[in-house]
Parts: sequence; structure tokens; C-alpha cells
Amino acid sequence: MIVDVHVDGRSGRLLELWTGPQADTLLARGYDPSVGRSQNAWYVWLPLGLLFLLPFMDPRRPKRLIHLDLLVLLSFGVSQYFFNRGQIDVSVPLQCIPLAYLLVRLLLVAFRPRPSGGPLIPVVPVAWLAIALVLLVGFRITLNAIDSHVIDVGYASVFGADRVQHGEDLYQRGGDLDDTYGPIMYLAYVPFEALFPADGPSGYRAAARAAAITFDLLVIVGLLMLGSRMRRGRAGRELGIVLAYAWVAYPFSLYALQTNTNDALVGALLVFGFLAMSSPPLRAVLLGLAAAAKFAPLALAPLLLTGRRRSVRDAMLFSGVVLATVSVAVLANLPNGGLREFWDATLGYQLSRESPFSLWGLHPELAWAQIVAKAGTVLLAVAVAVWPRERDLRQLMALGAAVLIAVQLCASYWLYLYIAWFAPLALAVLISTYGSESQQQGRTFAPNRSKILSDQSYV
Amino acid sequence: MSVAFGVVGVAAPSAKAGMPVLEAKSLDTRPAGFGVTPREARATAEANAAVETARREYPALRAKVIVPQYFGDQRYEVV
Repeated sequence: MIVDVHVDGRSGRLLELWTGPQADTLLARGYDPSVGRSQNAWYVWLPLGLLFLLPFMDPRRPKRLIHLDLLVLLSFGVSQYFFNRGQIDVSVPLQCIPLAYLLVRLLLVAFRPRPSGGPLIPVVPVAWLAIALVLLVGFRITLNAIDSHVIDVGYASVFGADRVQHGEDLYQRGGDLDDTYGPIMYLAYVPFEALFPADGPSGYRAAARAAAITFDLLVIVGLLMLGSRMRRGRAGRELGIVLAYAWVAYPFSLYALQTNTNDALVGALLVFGFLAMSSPPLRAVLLGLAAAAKFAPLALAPLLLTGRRRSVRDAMLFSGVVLATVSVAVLANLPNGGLREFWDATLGYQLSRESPFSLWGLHPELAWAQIVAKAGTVLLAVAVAVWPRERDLRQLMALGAAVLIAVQLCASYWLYLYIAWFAPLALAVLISTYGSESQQQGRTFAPNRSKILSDQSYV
Repeated sequence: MSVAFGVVGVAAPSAKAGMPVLEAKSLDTRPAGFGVTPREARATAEANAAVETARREYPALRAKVIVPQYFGDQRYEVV
């Protein structure tokens, strides 16, 4: 579409006129209500941002790197502000800055891990965060119930589950968003669609909301468990609480919840995938499920192939299980037109999409740079299978988040929803840098546990 | 290689997808509740300087008048 003109049907007056990329993309126009509804309101966004930031701020150590890290994570909000105003020529470059920072920062953590001596939570007790975590979960679910909306990602997922429930072909629309996800995504919605049928009184919305809330809760549970995996005993439980708190206070985890999309499922599956690092078949199943839900997580296959130790047997087992998981999911849901139709509806459809929500879409003259970025991402995704040679769980998560961010940076389509894919891992990596000092002080941790925060403490 | 990168867009939402749109069957028939015809709406659009510029730039440009249902009001969309 070259030009889009809206004319009042009663008076004949010209209402709107759109040219350029905004002529073809409603999302790029900054219509009100904004995507995510009240997540965009200052009285929700700013308090959440402060709750996200303040517990980690240490007035005695203003140069603590976590201050900058969390501010950068929040700085997607600057881009979001312009996006909501329909100024995508400003919002798109601004979204790339935090992505690029996080990519570099996470790679530095992966290749030069240096646990900080600073406290995990400098001022407030962890118990306060535990209480705040419960309150914030309640707030998020309440906000979802009273002022969220279901964008096409959510209803497409529910309608896919509805087709499964009715024994229809999952892939029958040739992409166009209704059937463009991997089969696991639709299957994940089946329980919710069974509880709240799309053709029931509340339509597709109730199922989409129930699914989005469940995926969000899965991320929270995953982060609670991750804390205990990264540190032993009470220190681990406290780290888990802090990580889960950071997730629920982060405005961009709320973005996925407020739009009732399926993106938190990707984040949850990846958290559980890294939790299962010690079991090649289990992490393979989880990666396979994530890949058969939204494809992009497959970029983590080389990293998770080797994991922490290089073993031919483990690598073969991992490869076989990933292949089997994806194959079973796809073949069991193959449309009548076979793999060709599946391809056309999913990856083929996506590859042919154009969008103004990336530098590449907004500035087609940068096509050469996108090719360079893609090549670099392929190199990165492959290289992290063997480099760095020695790595712990925290480094692996840093590499995983970095690869996801690299993939997002060179994609033609990007939205704030995708932050939910890498945010759980990135938060775990950046926040778990800290904690040793508070243990030494015995203020919030048992005094004799300080040594477990050494370089070797990460599983 | 392109496969590996297009997949990120798999989550891509588009406010337009799945939204009901009616195409005007006749340019001279007003839909119920409308005060102007699709032809008059098209004339309003084509009188705009930006549309004239687009026409010069893309001589093959053809206008289509639709009635979008997702704005909740009586409006034409000339695309």
C-alpha cells in the first residue's frame, strides 16, 4: 500500500492520511489505545520501573554496573514512547541501542566472568522483595483481567488450539498469522481453549488471557528454581526470589502479559531448558519444544548441544532428541499439502513479510549491513558451541541470551514483546553477578555460605 | 541462511490481521449510516496533494475504497 486515506463517511471530511511504511502498517501509527493498554500509562510504567530499579541501587557504590544494566533494560521505554506516538523513525533506532548494549554486555559476562563483590540487594531485605513479588503477581493478574487486550498473536494461538480441538488441520490459512506458529504453540493453548472455548460466551479472550498468565507464572517459577540452581541453600532461594521479583517488576514482561501474547512461553521454556543443563535429553526436549513453538530458539541448538562439557555421546543424544521432538511435533500436525504447505504457512510466510519495525525494514538501503549482521549472528551461534571452552551455567545463559538478542537484532521484524524471550536469562546473568558481600556481612545470608559465591559456585 | 533470521518475525503481530473489512460493492451506493458515497470519498482522497504526488510517482496506482470495521465509526478507507 502506497497511500492510506481515511474519509469520514458522514461528512466526507478527510480524517487521516498515511504514506510510507505507516500506510501499510497499523501498528506503526501510534493509535490509541496503545499496544499493551495501561502498561503504557505513566502511573503504571514509572512506578514499575522504580520498583525494578530501586532494590538493586546501592547509594554507596554509584558506579555499580547493575545500575547501568537495569537502566538500559528500562531504556526500551524511551523507544516505546516514540512508538506509541507513531514516530517509528525514532523508536526503531532507539530500540537497537539497548539491544546492542545487552549483546555486548552479555558476551563480556560470558567471556570474562567476574562476579562482583557488591551485595545482591544493598538496602532492603530480601523478605520485602518476597512480599512485593506476591503483591506484584496479584497486581499483574488483576491488571490483565481489567485492562488488557488480546492482539492477533494471542487469538491466532487460541484459534489454532480450537482447530486442534475440532480435529481440523492446524495449517490451513497459508500463514497470514492465524497458522504461522510452530505446532507446539497451538498445542500449548489446547488446555486453555478446552477450559474457555473460543466459541464460548467469552470468545477467544478468556483462553488467551489464561494462557498468557500461565506462561508468565511459569517464568516466575522457573526463575525461582534457577536461583536455587545457581546457588546452594538459602542464598539460592533468595537469589530465586530476587530474580522472580525483577521479572514481575520489569515493565516489558508486563508488556507481553498485557497484550496476552504467547511470548512468555518462549522465555519459560528457555529458562527450564537452562535449568535442565545437566541432562542432555531433557534440555533437548525443552529446546525442541521451544523451537517447535516459535522456531527462533533453534539458534541456541549449537550452544546447548555442548553445554558445559564436550561429550560425543551427549551431543549425539541431544541432537537426536531435538530432532525427534521437532519432527514429531511437525509431522503429527502436517497439513494435507505436506511439508510444503507447512513451510508456506510458517517460515515461508514469515520470510516474505515486510515490516518497518527494524532498521532493515525502515531503511532498505542498509540491506548489506543486515547481511553482515546475519553472517555475524550465524558465526556467533555456532562459535558458542565451543567457545569459551570452560563455562558455567551463568556463562551459558549469558551466551544464550546474547544469541537470542543477536538473532533479534538482525531480524526484519522486532517488537517489545520479544524482550520476554531473553529477559529472564539476561536478568539472571546480570543480577547474579552480585551477592558475595552481603553474605560476608551476614546481613541477609548465613555467614558461612560466602564461599559459594566464588567463581566456582555457579553450577 | 535467510531462514535462520526470518523466524524471529514468527511472533509478529499485526493489528490488521483478522480484522473485518468490507469492500464497497458500488461506488455510488452509500452504506447504511453514511452520508457520502464511496466515489465522493475517493474524490476527497484524490484531491489531496500527497495522493497526487503518489500518483505521479506510481502511475499504475489504483484506488480501492473499503469500509473498515475496526475503528468503530462510519469511515471510508481509500487505499
